[in-house]
Amino acid sequence: MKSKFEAFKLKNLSILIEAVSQKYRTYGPVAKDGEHAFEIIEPESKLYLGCAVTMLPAKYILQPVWQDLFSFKLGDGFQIEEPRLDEKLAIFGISPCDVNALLALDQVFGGKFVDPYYWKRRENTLIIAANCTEVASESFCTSWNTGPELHSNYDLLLTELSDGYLLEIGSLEGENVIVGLNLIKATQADLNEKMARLDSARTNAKKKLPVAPDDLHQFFRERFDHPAWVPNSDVCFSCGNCTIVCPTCYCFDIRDEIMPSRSTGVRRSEWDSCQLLEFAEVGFGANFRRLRIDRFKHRTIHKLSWMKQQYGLTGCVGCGRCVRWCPSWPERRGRLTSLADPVEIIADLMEPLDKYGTAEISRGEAA
Amino acid sequence: MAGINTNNRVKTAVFKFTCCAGCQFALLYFFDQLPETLELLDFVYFKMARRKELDEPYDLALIEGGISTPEHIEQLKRIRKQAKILVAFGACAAHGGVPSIKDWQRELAVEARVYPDPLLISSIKVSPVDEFVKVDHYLRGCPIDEVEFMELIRSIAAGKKPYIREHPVCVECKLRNNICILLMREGVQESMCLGPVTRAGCRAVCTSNMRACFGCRGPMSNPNIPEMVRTFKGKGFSPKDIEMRFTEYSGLSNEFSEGARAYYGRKAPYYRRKAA
Repeated sequence: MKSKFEAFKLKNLSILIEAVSQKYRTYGPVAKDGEHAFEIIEPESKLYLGCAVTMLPAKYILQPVWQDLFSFKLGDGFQIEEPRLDEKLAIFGISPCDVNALLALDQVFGGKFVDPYYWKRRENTLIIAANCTEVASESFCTSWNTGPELHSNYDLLLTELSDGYLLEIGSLEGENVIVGLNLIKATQADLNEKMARLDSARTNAKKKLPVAPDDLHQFFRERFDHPAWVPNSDVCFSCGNCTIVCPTCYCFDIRDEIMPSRSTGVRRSEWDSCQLLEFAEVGFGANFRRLRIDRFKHRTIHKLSWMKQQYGLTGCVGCGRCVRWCPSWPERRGRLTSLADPVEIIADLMEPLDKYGTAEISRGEAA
Repeated sequence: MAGINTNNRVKTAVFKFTCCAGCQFALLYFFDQLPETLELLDFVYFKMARRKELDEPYDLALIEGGISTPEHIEQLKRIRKQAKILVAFGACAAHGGVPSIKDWQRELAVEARVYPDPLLISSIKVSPVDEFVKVDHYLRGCPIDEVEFMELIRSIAAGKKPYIREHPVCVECKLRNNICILLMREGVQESMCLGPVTRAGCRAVCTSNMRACFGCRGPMSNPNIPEMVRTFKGKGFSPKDIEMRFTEYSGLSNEFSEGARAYYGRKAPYYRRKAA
């Protein structure tokens, strides 16, 4: 264990949840309609700390789906009013892949150009991560080394054990939360059990990227005009599901809403998606990505390669949300697979060119 | 917006053609919900709300319902000449709506089912408003959506372009943290949700209540209809089910009629091509 802090043993989570929710507005993964979702939790809430591939990722807590940036008033001059963003937040049970996704978003919103709305919330957020003791069938975090274990960048870290939870502390703020909780110190046996459980999770995770992450840039360069893009994008709905559930997607749109008086209004942001036709439309109706194939390619390569060039951190953490929520399931290699699955797309691109016969490399259908 | 004096209230007339009048009824309901927005309009003709007809010119015409008799066409053209802005108000005006189901059957057979003597009436196939006149704005949906209505009226009054969504219902549905009812693979029920090809703006009201999207708002921009048909087929729905789902509300749109014809390959009784 790298942390200079101690590790503790928890019998049940409720005392920790209570301690946290007293000081913070606390979100955690709970069951919803047979799936899981990050929602505000109470001490009695039943948290799911397995491989919680929640519907919307935790990023929506820091970068809300709809956000009022400020309200404005025209009168004697121009007045604006900004919302207060000093609320203390805690994200309970966030998976290692999602923590890594937040690190990528930190680069986008807090790197060269700082987004004060995101960054203010981010600074006020306590990360109580949970290691995954199992890996969901659609996830491939082991390929990116973004899971199932988290090594740093947490305030508190939980690992499920056979008779409770192992609680590790990663920061001073994390330590302050549990002061006075009267916890039992973890034994070496507990730490060993953690290692054993995570090792078994790692071995059981079968899904792997067929290309080493470092080689992806070159891989896509060579296959930018590969014919496999055509049949793939032909069955894409361009519905935007894959990007909205993605924990590293960060695009949003900004609009003004004018009130009937025409002297007051709100400037609002809303998540947007590069898969939508209107996304790349500019004045006079010109569109940089009018074709479905261009949008499909953009999402895939931006996630897997360009974002690394841009921000130094991968845009895919292997959580598998896009795989889970893509409505299109075409038949590939004799079985139904999710269209959005990066592993399957890469496998398609590795097929020899002559597999596609003499079929003309079309540019997909026009919008 | 050409010709509208934005300092005054917008003189508005509401007309009804073939429909259930539900969108007009929704408008009455908005008087309670959106009084400030309705304040921007001055109604000179609105049969459901006031008996007296004012003999005044109007700038904005809200057209409700599809066009289904020769007289409708004449009246619609007169309205177009008068109005500076013409809005197709609701699913029937925008895509034919529910009445357009009859377009997929023989005209006489449909008439005979309702009228004892079909020769006494003169009806034609139902058409959306834009078949005959230019439409400036569309307010889609069965019925129209409150927030979209608000956005349109405020934008008209402020003389700016309204923000009307063109992306699919899926976006609005996912943003609301809903599970996908089309995707319930091992789940309880398979549903014929048209969300991935239908235009948003309804705030995903049906899917948020676990009901499949039935496409009342018509096709989104650049929908992938063949893929939608393949998905339904893969879930074991019959050709008749698929045809009915696509023709239920917006079957007259090019895109949805393509979905309806996907199985039979027959020429749609009504097939409209927009000018490129």
